[in-house]
Amino acid sequence: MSESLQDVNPAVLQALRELMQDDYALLLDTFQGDADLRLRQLREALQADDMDAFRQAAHSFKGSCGNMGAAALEQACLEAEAAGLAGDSAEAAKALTVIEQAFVRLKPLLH
Amino acid sequence: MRSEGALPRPVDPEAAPLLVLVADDNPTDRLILGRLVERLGHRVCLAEEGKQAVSLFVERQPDIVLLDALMPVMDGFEAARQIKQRAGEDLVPVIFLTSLTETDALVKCLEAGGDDFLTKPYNPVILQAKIRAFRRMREMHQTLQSQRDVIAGQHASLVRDQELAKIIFDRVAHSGSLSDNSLRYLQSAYAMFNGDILLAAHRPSGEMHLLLGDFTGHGLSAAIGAMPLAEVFYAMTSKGYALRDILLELNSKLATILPVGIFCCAVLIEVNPTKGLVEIWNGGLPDVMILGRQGELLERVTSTNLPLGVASRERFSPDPKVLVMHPGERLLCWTDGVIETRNGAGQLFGDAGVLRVIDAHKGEPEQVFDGLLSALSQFHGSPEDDVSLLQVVMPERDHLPAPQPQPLTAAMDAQQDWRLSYTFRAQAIRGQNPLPFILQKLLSVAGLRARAGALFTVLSELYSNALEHGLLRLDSAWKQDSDGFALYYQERSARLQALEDGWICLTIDHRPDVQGGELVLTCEDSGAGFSTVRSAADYAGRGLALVAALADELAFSEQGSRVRVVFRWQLGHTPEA
Repeated sequence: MSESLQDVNPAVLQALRELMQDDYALLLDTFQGDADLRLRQLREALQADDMDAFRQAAHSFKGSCGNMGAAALEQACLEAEAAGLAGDSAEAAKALTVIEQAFVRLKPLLH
Repeated sequence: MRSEGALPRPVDPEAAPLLVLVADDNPTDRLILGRLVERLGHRVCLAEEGKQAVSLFVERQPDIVLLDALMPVMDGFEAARQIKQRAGEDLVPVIFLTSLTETDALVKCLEAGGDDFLTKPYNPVILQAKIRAFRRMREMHQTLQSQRDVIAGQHASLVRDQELAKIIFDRVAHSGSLSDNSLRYLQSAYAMFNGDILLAAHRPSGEMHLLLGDFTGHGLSAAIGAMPLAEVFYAMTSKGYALRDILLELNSKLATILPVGIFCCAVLIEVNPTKGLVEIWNGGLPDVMILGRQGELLERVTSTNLPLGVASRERFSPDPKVLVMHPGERLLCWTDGVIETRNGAGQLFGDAGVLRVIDAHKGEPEQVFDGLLSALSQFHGSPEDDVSLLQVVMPERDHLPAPQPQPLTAAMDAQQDWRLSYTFRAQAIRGQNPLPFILQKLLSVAGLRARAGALFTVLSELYSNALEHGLLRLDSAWKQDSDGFALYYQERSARLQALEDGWICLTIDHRPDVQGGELVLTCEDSGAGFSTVRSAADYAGRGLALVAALADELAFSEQGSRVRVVFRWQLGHTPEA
């Protein structure tokens, strides 16, 4: 299902560029910084088997992915959040892998 | 952020920019939302978590708060609660930023005081719509509050006005003779300003006038009508006018000044202890009741007249009912508040309630007044606050009001050397009572003022003897019992209205001398004189016996159709009343 989603919606990025003007680069940096933080939180939570922390990190990451037009990553976060909520660490581990892959694909597209 | 459609432009550049607090722990979302809000023409302040949001709210007082639900340190739910609490009665919309879709979480937002939701990713159009909607709601709320404050202010000033009016009204309604021993009354505070009025005053000749009234309407409008009512009542009573004359004047005065729909239901009473008579006029109030010495119900005087201020002079009937009342008998009257009291079940206390109380106090009539009050408060469940109640106990016959002390300034009375004579013919006699006018003339002699009561009593007796026996040929023998009294006064009224011929001549001759002066009153009428039978009759005879007692000399001539009375007064000491 996540395969069918775009890694990024260019129309959203265009709208953000118009909205942020000179601060567009700042927005991209902020998102990257936040994404690194969330990925670290997700990994740590999974290692500690803290499904609640995992869910919260996925939830927060999901919000900003949505706003950035990163549809595939957003979907992956949603699945991670659901796994965290269900307390299913096996599903959580799978979802984290999907998130990491999606983020690797997304990174070069953000400009 | 959603990409659908172009970014909205600030639609209403005229509208003052709002200050919007954005609290989100996610820096990307915070950045985007903050910029979206600015793009809509508003100012933004940003918080990274709930605690910071609350302190920014206190510090900056934003107009709208956008709160993320899940944040570190303090979550959005707690922040919303604290913000709503600090906002007090101001409306500060709190919109939750959420991608939460579970109903439970949304319910939690509402319970924390949230007014709406904005879901991620943000849709600029929806954000704009929400901010505009909440701006309008805020403006309406502020309008509502300021109008409420205006109304509260006006209400407070209305209450102040009413309190002032009540002070004046209380003074008007409570001057006069309400402290007389023969009276007992209750006027609850609410009743008074509800248009109930109670007035009492003495005529110069000693009779007491009472007025119990109930204006339609409430508050100021009712109180305003009471002012002229009281003024006319006091002024005319003190000048010696009869109840009938006062009624005519009150009615026409109120009819002139009161707007349509406002009038005064009233009972007017004259108590004459000397003659053992009461005159009662009831226009629109509940029955006046007279109880015997054992508390038995003797008479009920039902309203047969229109209230004051309704009828034109031609249609207005000012004739009171005249009844014998022996010492110790008591008269009770009240306003609608008494019989219209309702209990919890909505039943009326009514006439029946009053009669039950009267019945229950047979043999102890002095308990009726209190009995009525406690029965009312029992029936009503709490002390009745809209009640006016009056009781008059007929005093002993020798009860006469103390003469009003008048300063003796007789120095100018040496110039009061005159004689005047008035002849009143049928038309004048039908229409008016000339005595107050004559009395004012007499009271221009300072030396006579201390005897105003006696003078007025004598004048009244002479005039009414001349009128009733001389001109109207009424037989005082009728006045032996109560039925006869009723007949007598009915006849008096009928014959007076039909009077076509006859005259009454009043002559007053005042001569000052070195010690003081001498006043000679002569009253002559066109009638045939009187027989001596009348003077034997109890009530009728009392009139002339009284004159003989009050005056220094009394003489009859022309078979009694001419009466001469002499008063002497002396400088330097107050004559006995």
